[in-house]
Amino acid sequence: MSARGEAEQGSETNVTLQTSDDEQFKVDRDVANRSVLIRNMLEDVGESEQAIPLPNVSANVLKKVLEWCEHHKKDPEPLAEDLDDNRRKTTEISDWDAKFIQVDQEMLFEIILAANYLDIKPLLDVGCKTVANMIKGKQPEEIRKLFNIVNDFTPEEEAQIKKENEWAEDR
Amino acid sequence: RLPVELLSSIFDFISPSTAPPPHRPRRDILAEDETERAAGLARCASVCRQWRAAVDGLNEVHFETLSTAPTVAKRSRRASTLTVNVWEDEYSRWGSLPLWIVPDVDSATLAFHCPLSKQKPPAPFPCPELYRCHLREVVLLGGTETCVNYAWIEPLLQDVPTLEVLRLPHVDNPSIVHETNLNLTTLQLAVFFEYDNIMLHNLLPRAKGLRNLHLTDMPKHVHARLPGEEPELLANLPGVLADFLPRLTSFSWLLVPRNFGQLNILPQLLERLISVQYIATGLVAFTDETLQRLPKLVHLRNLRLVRHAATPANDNDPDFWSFKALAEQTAALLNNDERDGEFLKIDVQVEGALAKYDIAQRSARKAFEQAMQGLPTAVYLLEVRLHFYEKPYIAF
Repeated sequence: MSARGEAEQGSETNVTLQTSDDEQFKVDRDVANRSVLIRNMLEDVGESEQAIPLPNVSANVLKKVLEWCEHHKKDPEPLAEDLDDNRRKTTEISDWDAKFIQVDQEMLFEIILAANYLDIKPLLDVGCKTVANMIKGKQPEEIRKLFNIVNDFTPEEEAQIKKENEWAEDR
Repeated sequence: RLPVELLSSIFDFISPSTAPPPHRPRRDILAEDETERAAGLARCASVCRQWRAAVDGLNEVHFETLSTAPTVAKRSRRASTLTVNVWEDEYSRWGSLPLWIVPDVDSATLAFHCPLSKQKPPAPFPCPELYRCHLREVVLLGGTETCVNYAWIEPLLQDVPTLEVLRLPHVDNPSIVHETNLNLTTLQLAVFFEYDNIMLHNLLPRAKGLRNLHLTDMPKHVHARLPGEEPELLANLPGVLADFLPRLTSFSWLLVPRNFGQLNILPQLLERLISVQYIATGLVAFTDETLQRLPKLVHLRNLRLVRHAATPANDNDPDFWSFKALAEQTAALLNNDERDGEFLKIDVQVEGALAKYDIAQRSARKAFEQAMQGLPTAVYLLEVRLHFYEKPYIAF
């Protein structure tokens, strides 16, 4: 087991996170608090030196997630009104986030899964928007090729779907 | 491989849903982006079984034509939101939706694309299966001409006690509603002539829980009535709405200009909107004088205004509102002791050319900076955004 991460600034401001492959990360509480899951766990356990186990996240993915949390640690919580009105209206991603998420497909999906597990909504949105931008405007065959997806429809199902969706093909 | 729930979320981003929440008015047509969403989802559903399940997880079904609807296979999960286009040659059909729709759908949006005036005798409601659905939301839209017959709606009002949201921006030939108990919380209605209020007059007493009222106009170019007729001044509207305004939490006033006559009505309405949180207005709604009512709207969270292209750059004009008056009255609202620290967002749609947008930006920034000087907390309590096509500008 190894410990890596931010330099210690007093144990009360630091939190230790333990990954599925038994690596430990010591991070600033503000950074860890970007995750609603971790924030709730910290509230439940109170002040404790014990590492918080994250059995669904591996070290290389957590490192990447923490990089995002560190950059966004001072972001304000979005207003409920903005969540309603604006969040889903655009697939635009900020320059920093766009550069951050330039990773291979496997890592992209791992980040999305980790953001979902750790309940980091803005990071989940960045991941989902990135995949959405990759899909946009593509035909089903192109999408299968891009994500290496096997067409598992039976010929009958495929014929039915083709008939139903004819109107959408040339749009 | 991502789980179905996350795929659904990704698909939602590809073409975001434009369905407005109850406190917002909706557009009076089935817009291109709404159809594009359905097309994008259809393409994703064709990729593989897991993706089809993820699309089904969004609970939406779109029939591009009524004729093809019966051939569409039942969804693997409950499809609660239905959108149907009804085209010219489909009006004479009777009973066209697949029966699996009936127990599942609770929100139906129908867009009719053929003017009723050409139908003799008037066509029956093309989707009678909906009369058997437990509908929570009904939206009837027209195309390029008035296409919605009021007679189609009466059975929905009489036999669907679950109905909460009713949006009728294109209804023609309003008539008296028979005895019915409605649980409407949201009503969007086009009012054009004084007698359009008959429908309001009859609906409102039966909509005890109404919270969101959106009054829009049937655009003149789609109106099937006599060409050249001017919209009336709706002088009886304050009387019709009097008992309902105090409990509304959202109110939209999106009527076409009526030779400035409607300016006399809005202040009377505002006076009674004591619980309102969301206000959306169109052209020629507010003036500097009308804005004096703003400080009393202590629960207001969002105000949407339109800045008319003819608004003078520097001087005040009694027919238009100015940023100076808006900023001053906003400061008075934020200072009102009865206000409980609620955040206020003001959105201003700027009409006219890009030069007008430039002027509006400067006027807004200057006016709000000046008005908020004595209110240090304003920075935490207020945001003012200007909109001109896709170029939003934060003025404060």
